[in-house]
Amino acid sequence: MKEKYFYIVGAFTTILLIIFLIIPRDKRSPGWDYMPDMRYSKAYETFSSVDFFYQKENGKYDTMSARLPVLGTIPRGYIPENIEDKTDEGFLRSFCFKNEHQGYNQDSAFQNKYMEAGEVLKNPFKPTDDILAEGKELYLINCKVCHGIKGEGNGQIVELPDGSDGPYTARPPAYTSRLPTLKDGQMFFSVSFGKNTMGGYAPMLTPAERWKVILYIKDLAGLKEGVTPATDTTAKKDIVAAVVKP
Amino acid sequence: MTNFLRSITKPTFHVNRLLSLVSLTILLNLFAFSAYSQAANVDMVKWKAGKAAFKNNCASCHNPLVKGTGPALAGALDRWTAEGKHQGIDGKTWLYRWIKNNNEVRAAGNPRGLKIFGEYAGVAMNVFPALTDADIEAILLYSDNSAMNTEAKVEPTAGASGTTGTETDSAFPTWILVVILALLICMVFTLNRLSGSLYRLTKESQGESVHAFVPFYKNKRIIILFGILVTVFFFYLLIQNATALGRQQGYQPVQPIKFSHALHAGKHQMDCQYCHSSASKSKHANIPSVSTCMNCHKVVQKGPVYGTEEIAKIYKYADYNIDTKTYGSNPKAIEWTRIHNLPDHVFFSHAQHVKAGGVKCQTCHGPVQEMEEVYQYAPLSMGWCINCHRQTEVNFDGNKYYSIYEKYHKAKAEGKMKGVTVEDIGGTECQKCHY
Repeated sequence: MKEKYFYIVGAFTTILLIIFLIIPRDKRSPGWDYMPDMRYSKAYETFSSVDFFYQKENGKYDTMSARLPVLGTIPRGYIPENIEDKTDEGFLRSFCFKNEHQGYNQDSAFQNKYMEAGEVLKNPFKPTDDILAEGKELYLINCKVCHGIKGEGNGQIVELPDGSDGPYTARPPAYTSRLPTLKDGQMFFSVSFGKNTMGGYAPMLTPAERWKVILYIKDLAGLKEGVTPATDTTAKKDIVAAVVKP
Repeated sequence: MTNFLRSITKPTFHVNRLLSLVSLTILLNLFAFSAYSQAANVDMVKWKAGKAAFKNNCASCHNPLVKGTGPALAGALDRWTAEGKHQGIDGKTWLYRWIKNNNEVRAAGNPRGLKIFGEYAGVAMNVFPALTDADIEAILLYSDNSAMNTEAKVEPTAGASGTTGTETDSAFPTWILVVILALLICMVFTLNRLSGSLYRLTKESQGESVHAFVPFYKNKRIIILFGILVTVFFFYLLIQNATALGRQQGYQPVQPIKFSHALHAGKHQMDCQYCHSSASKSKHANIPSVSTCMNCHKVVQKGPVYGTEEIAKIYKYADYNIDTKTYGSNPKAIEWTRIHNLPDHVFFSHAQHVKAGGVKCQTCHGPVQEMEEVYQYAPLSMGWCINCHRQTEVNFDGNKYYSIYEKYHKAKAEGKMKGVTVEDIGGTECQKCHY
């Protein structure tokens, strides 16, 4: 009788072992947890879907945890410690310069805004070595893909290394051909909200980063002049006040 | 004999030649019928010049066959000439003027020019005063015959598949070894049994007393040995599985779009931070918004593996109409499944590692540029974190972030320390990650 139990226990252990060995971990599932309440956040995580904001408006289901900031929120880097020294009107405006065209369509309102940007916005940075190095770093990440290392419009998705055409057929013009006709503000507008087939880079680059990239691009095209920041200190405080007010 | 052979082969040769000629003519006819791709009567020198000029001047807004920022250019000359004369000037001249300076043509009140301007929501074309008539002629020739392939491209030979083939050939298949081993064990048992029986038979025939036969599965020593082995193995597996519980190494969920990192980051060498741009600015390496996809896929409408199927999903999320080139008012975020999940009680900042530390993405995420479908490469366990913090030397030179560690800078300058690891600057303290 005792022997019988021994065999039963032995068989059971063997079956367990076989189960452990045979059943592989399902790669499509995250698996089990010891303490899920410690692992998974009670607070809403950045890129998650939550029910709290669930709303159905005009057939839109919005459950994204990432919300627009509260009205009147000041973006990071908007007001440097010392306004008088470090910034100017054109730079401050680049934070609150909105793209007012319908959707993403580039209609005449978009063109007007583009022309206005050329008049209003000014680059707060000067092309020092540090700034150009930062601009280059950002350029290689964000722009090189299409515009090429030297800005000739032969990026890796436009022209493959063997010289044949890449998947991106809208070859951008070389910087040397188009850039001299543009104002800094227009470049800023194009980088922010896109132009023709180019998309907007406002989600990826902060205004300061966009200005640095613009300096690097101008350096690539051999343009050195035209980076004189405005020095009018009276106007900038009004703008700060206007933007901070919700 | 040879004559006989010749008499057979000769006519068949002729038939072959005839067949090839017929098929060639059929092919040529097909080419001629398919719009704007006829191979005949095209000046190749001019075509190449046109291609170059097209790339430099027109390609950013126009595609010969697809509507871009401006209209598709194939057949532009036909369309302008079909419009007929305006103010006594024929369509071709108007087109040439339009390409050089479209503002003038619109000012002159050309109906076709005004119509195109209206169709494209008043977006004016750039002016190209530098283009000569010969350039324009070449550009139009190229755009009418763009589909033509001039340079015969050499197809890459299947080198990669060949190497894998030889690898498997050289290795001796393991299953054969297993079968041989099993056979040998069987033989040992049968021979043992046989020799035992023979031994007992001889003893019995000599009249000596013999122990009763005990089969191996009733042999106590063997049972105990087997029991110990099974227990040890069981506990080994238990510990293995228990530590793996809660870790998600190898996790490879199904994503809503079959996005290939191997194609984007590998073949086209796009920087990781092009899409995951906040990795250097924030705790999170962001999941790109649909607008980031649209930066390229406004133009790239067909993928190499799934064709238009997967890219059409982006358009659906972005609410983009590919025919009219307009966006709707109901875009939707793509619900990607997150792969790398650190527990809530651990703090991790991408910005700290990417910007201050200068750690390569691949250190933790593995060779993503080779992954067709991304999986979790590292275990993301605490031991794994700590191990890296102990081994990795901080880039002290020329990195302003670490300038406050004056003691270590001094020690390094005096030669007392070779390198400063993350552990030295407090990288293994509990509160760094758990608070």
